[in-house]
Amino acid sequence: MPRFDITGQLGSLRRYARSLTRNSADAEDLVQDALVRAYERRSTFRSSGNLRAWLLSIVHNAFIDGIRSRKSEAARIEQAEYLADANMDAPQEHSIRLAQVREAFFKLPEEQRSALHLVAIEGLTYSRAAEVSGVPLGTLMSRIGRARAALREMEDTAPARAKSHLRIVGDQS
Amino acid sequence: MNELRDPIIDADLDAYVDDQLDVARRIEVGAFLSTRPEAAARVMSDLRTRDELRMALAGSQGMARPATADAARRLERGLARDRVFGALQRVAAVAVFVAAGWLAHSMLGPISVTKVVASTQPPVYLQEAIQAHKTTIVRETMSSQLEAPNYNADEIRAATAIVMPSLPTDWKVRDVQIYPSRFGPSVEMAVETKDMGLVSLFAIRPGTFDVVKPTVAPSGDISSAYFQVGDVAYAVVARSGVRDLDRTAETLASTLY
Repeated sequence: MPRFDITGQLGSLRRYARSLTRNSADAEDLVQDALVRAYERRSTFRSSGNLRAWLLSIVHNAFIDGIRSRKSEAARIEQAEYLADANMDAPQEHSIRLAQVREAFFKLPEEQRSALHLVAIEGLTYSRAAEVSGVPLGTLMSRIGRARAALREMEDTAPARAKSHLRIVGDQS
Repeated sequence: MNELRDPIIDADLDAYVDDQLDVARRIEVGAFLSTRPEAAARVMSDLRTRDELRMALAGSQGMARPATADAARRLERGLARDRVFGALQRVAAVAVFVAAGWLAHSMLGPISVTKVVASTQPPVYLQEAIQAHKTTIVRETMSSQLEAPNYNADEIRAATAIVMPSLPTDWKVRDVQIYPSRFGPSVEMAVETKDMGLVSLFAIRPGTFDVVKPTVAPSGDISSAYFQVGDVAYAVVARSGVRDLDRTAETLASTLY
């Protein structure tokens, strides 16, 4: 294994790119773009630093820059959440519920999606996630709070079939 | 739970879900939750959503393209290369500090105008390289001096611990000699080139660790360029008026990384 295992980080990078772009093909473009940028800016990586956080921050910046330069395509990105992605099939028994969670997640504003992804999916610490997205710690935490609140709201308004199949023992109502 | 502690706020619950609390605070939040079913239900729901999100977003590598993996490997190589070079630069910086201290120390003697060591002063081994080059030219003219045109870089490395740069394909090795020098054997190679005539490539251990970029040092009827990578220094020596000696030195130096 090379000393700087980038290949091993591709899964993380693709996941994050997918959460940002909400589309597998765009995510792959984004990761590739980010890797090219990372190569050009490899002198900014401190060998004492965290390789994954450094790469994630480059993915993040590439995405933000991409949004800025493609304002005209904003409508397309807005639409992306309605596109079903065939590559995302989860195991059958959970698939409906997981699809709902994913849908709700993709409906979050980009900044909340980014914050929640870095912490909840990639398991970064708050401070590292704040570094990756280039915002103060407090901003990151409030984004996570708002993201969670929005997801809970989705939970409350979810269709009945998504409810648990376990009944509450002793519930007589 | 009877004491008044830091109040538990929503951010604490989020941090609890994200496992960002130290153990002490985690215990406090746990105690708080154990008496508040509403908040506990919220935390459990958040945990569930988090796990479901992980599952929903995992394994979405369906669009993986080989070009991405190529870009990743290129970055791996780039970082590894920079790191080696960075380490060399750090070592070189240390060497400069040590040398500066040494110099300052030696200047603390009687206050007098000492010789100024300008940064452009060619290193001592360059003289040896030029001597070796001249010797080679003398040998060239003597039929009794046998030439040893069999050049084996691996053997040289094994015998002298000197790594020779890869030569351009149109260079023809005329003679390879091992000379004694202060810090171990040095290597003198005579090479016939199309553009520059007879050129000497000289490699020596100067006894210091440094990284010196290719530098041209003209001196009289001979022109030379030197560079150093780690603890081996190299000099390319040719007759005067030869242009592109710096480019040649750079080409040779780049094959050593």
